[in-house]
Amino acid sequence: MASIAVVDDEANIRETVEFALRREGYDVQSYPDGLEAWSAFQNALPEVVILDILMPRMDGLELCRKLRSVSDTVPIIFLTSRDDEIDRVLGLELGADDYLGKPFSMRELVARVRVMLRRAARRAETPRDDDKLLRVGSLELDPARFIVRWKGQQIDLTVTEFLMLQALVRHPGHVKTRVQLTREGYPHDNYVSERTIDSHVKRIRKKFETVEPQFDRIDTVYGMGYRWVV
Amino acid sequence: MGRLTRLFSRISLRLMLFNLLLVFLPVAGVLLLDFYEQHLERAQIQSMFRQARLIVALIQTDPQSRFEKAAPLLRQLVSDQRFRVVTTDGRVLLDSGPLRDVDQEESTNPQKNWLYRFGAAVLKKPLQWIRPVTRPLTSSDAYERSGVLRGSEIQDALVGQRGVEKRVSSQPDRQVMLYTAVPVFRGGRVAGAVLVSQSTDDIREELHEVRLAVFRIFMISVVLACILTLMVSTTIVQPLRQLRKEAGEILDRRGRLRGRFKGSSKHDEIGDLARALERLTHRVEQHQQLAEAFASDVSHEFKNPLASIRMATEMLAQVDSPAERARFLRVAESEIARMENLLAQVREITMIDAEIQNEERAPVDLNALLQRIVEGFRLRERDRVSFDLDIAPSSLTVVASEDRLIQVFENLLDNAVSFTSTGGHIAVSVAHADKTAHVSVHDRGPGIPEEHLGKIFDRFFTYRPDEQKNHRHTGLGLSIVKTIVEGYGGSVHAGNQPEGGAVFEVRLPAQ
Repeated sequence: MASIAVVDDEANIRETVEFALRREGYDVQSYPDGLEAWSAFQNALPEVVILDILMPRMDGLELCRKLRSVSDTVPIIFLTSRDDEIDRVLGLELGADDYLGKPFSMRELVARVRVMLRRAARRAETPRDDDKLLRVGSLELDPARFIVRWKGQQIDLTVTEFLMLQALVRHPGHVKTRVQLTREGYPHDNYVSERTIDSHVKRIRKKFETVEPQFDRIDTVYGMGYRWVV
Repeated sequence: MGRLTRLFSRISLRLMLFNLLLVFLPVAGVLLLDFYEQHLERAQIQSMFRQARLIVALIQTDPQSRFEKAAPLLRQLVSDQRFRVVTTDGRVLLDSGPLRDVDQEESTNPQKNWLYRFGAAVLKKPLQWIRPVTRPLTSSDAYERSGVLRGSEIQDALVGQRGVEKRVSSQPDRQVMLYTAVPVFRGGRVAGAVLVSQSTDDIREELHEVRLAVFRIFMISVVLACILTLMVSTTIVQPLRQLRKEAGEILDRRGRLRGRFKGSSKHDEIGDLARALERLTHRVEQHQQLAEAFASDVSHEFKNPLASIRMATEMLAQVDSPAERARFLRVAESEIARMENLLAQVREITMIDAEIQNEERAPVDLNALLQRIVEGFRLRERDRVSFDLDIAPSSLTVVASEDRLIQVFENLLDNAVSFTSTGGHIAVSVAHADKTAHVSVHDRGPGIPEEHLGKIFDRFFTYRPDEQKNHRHTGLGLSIVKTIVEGYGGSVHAGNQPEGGAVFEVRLPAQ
């Protein structure tokens, strides 16, 4: 079964996450700080890493940097209680794959881990044309591999961002409210604030703008939500 | 219009008025000239009377021949006076002849100066308003032309008194003439009068010259006052306006501090004000950042226990075994207790600042207080940690709230105990030096890493590497210590002892 590393200095969080993931059948190792985790990773890299940001001795940001220096592909999920860190965590600087804001639901974390593992597995496979491949204009969505292409170029979206974009694109031109987008992006979590959705959309736009600076397909509908413009 | 109002702000206007008021003082001097004029006139009248008495003495015995002999001589000596001898019925008996216009060729008459005419035009009305109205003078023309002189001065002389009269001639220059008459007595009766007349032009000319000089000074002063006002305006009003502009831009519409005062390099009071405001905004800015960071820290600190509680309750709904259920219940309960503790401490630290200044203070004997506190800790940690208390030789009093001091030393001892393993030792000492009480708490724990010494009193800062997170420690204990001690004008320092372990020293002003 897949190996998962949990790194958090909060014993209760660390132990509960470990317990819950073990119940799902994963092989879980947990560490109280980055230094201990890093020395354990010297022997074998886990398949998914779940990281807290603020930890003594070596914090999550530094551990993430070190991990990325040895592996570009190992999925990293951050657990954060500071919204102002998210942009750094998900940006090019650190290259984490996704994050969950504390307090998160255990079901959401399990779902993320599952998606991460599936995505990693599909990436390893040879690409084959899937029926579910979604094409809208120059946009190409591959839900099986969580891959997005805009005008032929691949865009790295987090799972949350992918799910939200998929919801927008499924009905082009239709407005999706923030509540709807929350349900799509966090299928198992009811406590995500609508403000979080705004910052997700902002980040999605930014990622498209790195491919096409004039990108304007995601429209803000004031007082309602967002829509994909055809 | 905008520039004009900018130039004449209210302060500028006030300065201008003040300066101009000073300038107008010479104008008051012009009024004083009236007294000067009267004085000159009296002197001239006296001189005329003397001449008249001389004539009287001359003609006392033989009027006709003596006068005729003396007249040419007098006219040569006294060119600006006219002498006439009048009989009791007013007929002119003898006359030295009309006055020549001696000064007419001199064109230096100040009245013709353009500045004088300008000043007269400007000041005539206001001066007339201030000065008492004088009786209008009668014309001398008719008087001079008639052969019989019956003016009031002649009437006075004919009843044996001296007479004086002023008349104005309509001649080109509107000369003001003075007439003086003295009686001629013969055999105890008035036989006639000697009339002396003279122009007052010399007096007036002199007065005009003085007036012109005063007016010239006045005009120069007005120009100087304007220049001074402008200078003052640029050195006072402009910097003030700049400050006002900066003050207006410093808060955004929601009242948040946006910009800051730029300060000033000026060495005057306005420069001081600008610098004081700069320092003030800097402090407010720091405070605002601190408050925002605190709010963000608090929310961060609450998210961890909240996450644990949420996951634990989620697990509770999923697991069936009683042992596992009990485990997650314990997690939830301990995290709830942690949140309560956190809430209490956050509330505490935010209240201290506001309350410490208004709390009742009383002299507290530090030796006795620490004996009590250490005794309490000895009981609490009976089997684990030993305590050593070294009190000051003389009694040591600090004026403070006793509860706050207990809070300070309990927090320090709690911190020391938490870093002390079983069988460890903590030393507390109280000393007195330079009106300052020194209390130090010394443990034999791992000490404080060099890089954390600066942050150890920061809110929510915790560093407990060799220990599981103990929920009793919120990271607020030491910042509460610092807040209280500084509230009493003291200071607290953290450091490491050469022989190992951390030492915290509190200094408080002592009596």
